[in-house]
Amino acid sequence: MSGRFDLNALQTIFSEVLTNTTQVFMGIELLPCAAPAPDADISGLLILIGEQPIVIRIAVSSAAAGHFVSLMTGIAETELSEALVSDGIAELTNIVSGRAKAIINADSARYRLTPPAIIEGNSHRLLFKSRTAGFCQNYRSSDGRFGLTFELIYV
Amino acid sequence: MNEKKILAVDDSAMIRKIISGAAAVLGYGLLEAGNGQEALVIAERQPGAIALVLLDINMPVMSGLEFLRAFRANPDNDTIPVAIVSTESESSSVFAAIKLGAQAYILKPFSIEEMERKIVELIGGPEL
Repeated sequence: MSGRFDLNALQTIFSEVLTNTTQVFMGIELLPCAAPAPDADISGLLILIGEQPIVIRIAVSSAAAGHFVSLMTGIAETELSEALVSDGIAELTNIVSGRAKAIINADSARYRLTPPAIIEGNSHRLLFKSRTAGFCQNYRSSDGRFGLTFELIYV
Repeated sequence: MNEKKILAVDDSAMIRKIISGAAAVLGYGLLEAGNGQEALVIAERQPGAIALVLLDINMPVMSGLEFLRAFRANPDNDTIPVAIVSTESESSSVFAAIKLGAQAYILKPFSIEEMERKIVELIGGPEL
C-alpha cells in the first residue's frame, strides 16, 4: 500500500487479519455485529508509524479476556493469572498488527510498529484530543458468549 | 520425561505458556527466557541440555537475531536447531534469520497442535 493513504483498504486488511488470527489462535470465529460495544476492561494498544500514523486498539471485558486467553493457551480460565491475561491481549494485538503491517509493507510502504501496551481499568474509555477519523467494529464470538471491539484511530 | 529441553525465548509470557503446553505433551522440559540476553545466560549455564530453541525476533534488551548471532558464534551450539517464532514475515527478516543459522520459521499465530507438529518435525516426538 504505497502512495495515497487508502482508508478502506486498511480497514479490510485489519478486519481479515483479525478474523483469521482469532480462528487460528483461539479456534473460534469472530463475527462483526451491530451490538453496542462491550465493557472495555483491558485494551491492547499499538501505533503503526508511517505515512499515516494509526493507533490500533483491541478492547475486551475481563471475562472475555480470560476466555480468549484460555482458548489460546489451553489453560483453564480459573488457572490464569491477571498478568498472563493482560499479556495475552497484548500479544493478540501485537500479532494482528504485525501481520497487517507485513501485508501493508508488501507493496513498498515502510510502516513500523511500536511495542504493544495495555490499558486496564473497569469500563474505561480512550479519548483522543486530535482524533481526525476512525474505524470501530464490534465482534461477537461465534458461540455468542463474548465480544471484542476493534478500533483504528487515525491521528 | 525426555532429558532434553526446549528453550522458549519470547517476551510474551502467553507465547511461552503455549510452547510449554506443547513441549509437555511431547515429553520435553522447558527453559524460558524473556529476551535474547536471558537466553544466552541459560544456554551457557546448561550446555548439552537444549534440544531446540524457539526464538522470537522483536524483544527488548536483546533481539532474536542478536541472540542468534551470539549463539551460533559458539561451536558447541552448531547442532542445536533454532526456529524463529514471529509475526515478522517480511522477506528481509526471514533471510536474515536463515543467514544467521535458523532452521525453520514459524509464523504467529499458531495453535498448540501446530506447535506440537513443528517440534516433532524439528526434533522428533516422545520417546516410546
